[in-house]
Amino acid sequence: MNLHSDDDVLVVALADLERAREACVILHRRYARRFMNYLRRRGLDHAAAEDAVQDAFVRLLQKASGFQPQGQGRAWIWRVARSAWLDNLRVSRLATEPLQGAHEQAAAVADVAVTSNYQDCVHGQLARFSEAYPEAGQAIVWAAVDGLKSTQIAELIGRSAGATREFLSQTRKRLREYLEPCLGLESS
Amino acid sequence: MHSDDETWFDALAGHAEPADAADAALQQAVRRAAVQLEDSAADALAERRLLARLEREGLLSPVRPAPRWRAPRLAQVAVIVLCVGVVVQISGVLPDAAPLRSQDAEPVAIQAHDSAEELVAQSAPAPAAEAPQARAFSPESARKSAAAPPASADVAAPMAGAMAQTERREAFAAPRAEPDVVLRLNNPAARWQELLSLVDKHEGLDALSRDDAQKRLRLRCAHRQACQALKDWLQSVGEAEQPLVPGQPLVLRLEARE
Repeated sequence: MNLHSDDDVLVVALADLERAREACVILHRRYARRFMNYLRRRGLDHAAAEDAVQDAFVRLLQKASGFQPQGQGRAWIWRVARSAWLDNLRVSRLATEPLQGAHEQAAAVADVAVTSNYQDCVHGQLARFSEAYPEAGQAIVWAAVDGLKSTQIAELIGRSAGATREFLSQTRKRLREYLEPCLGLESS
Repeated sequence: MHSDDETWFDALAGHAEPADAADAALQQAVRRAAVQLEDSAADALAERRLLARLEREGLLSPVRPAPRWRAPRLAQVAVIVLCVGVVVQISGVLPDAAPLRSQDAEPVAIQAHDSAEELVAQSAPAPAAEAPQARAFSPESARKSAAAPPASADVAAPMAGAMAQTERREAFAAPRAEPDVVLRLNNPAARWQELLSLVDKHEGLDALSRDDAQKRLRLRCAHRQACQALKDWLQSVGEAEQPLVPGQPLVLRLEARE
């Protein structure tokens, strides 16, 4: 049995008692750290974040039998996990985070000068951006790492179409501000 | 209708074309940085905790421990023990093997031989062709030695031991011995002489062993004609159903009809 193909296959396997363990292990190795990152950015300490990650996997196993494989397993996983966290009220800020960073852009820009490498600069600035705007940073990750479309991201963040459009616009604008200092390094 | 920002996100996700080369380069850099940020190194301890919780909550069936014999060390020990056991069995170095083969075995084997004779004598005649393989393995010499009186006590004991071993091997190789065909007759003495005369004068009828006291004759018909002659005689004494196979020994024993 090769379960490493895609997330749809893994989620389907979760509903199969004989394959559930193997699928769960693979999913945990694939997502647990990412869930942790997501939760830690929202201020949860390590223990609370780990509990929340477990809650997410419990919910995944409970919901797996209702999953319809249509190539959207990754979005489904994030949606179910986020739903579990919201239900437990452990991360109540998830749905209400305003897109106003806790840190000033000036502080982020000031640190950029220490690196002259373009990719390193982008990496550092994206980290700062995600720290300042966890939900926006997560949206970038969903798109860049998970390949989720804007409509799927909208569904995950649980906003209306108009609010999502504004959210994505603000996210892109803020990210560009963070990455502005790096753009001059690209040519060099 | 997608806005520019939604298109930008879709391009970042790989579902749309970037607006220009600069956007493409930036999105590529962001993708790399995002992957680095999302380092998904597995946490083995967290994994074990999760699996334990899922088992507790009945969402995963607990893993059954592998059978002990699957453990490599135990398997090696088992193989060694088996090999030693086989070697010991083959070489016969067990401490209790010697007395079994020399002293205790003799009376047991002889007794078994005699009992078999009695049992055969009391049972109904069995078809001679039922166990052709058993007859082929029968040690004729051992039977002759058993029928003959022992020369002396010194010779008899080792001979009996040898017979015991021969008979034991025979019992394993051919579990069923040649059954006697018991002929119950009104005048067995006369018929005995008649049978001896038939064997004596008919070429192809061979007497393999003979016991006049028991009126027991082990014989063999070498070819079809000889077998037919013997069959004719058997019919004349009322044993018409006895099948005869050329080359296979047959034991006839004559008894008085009660």
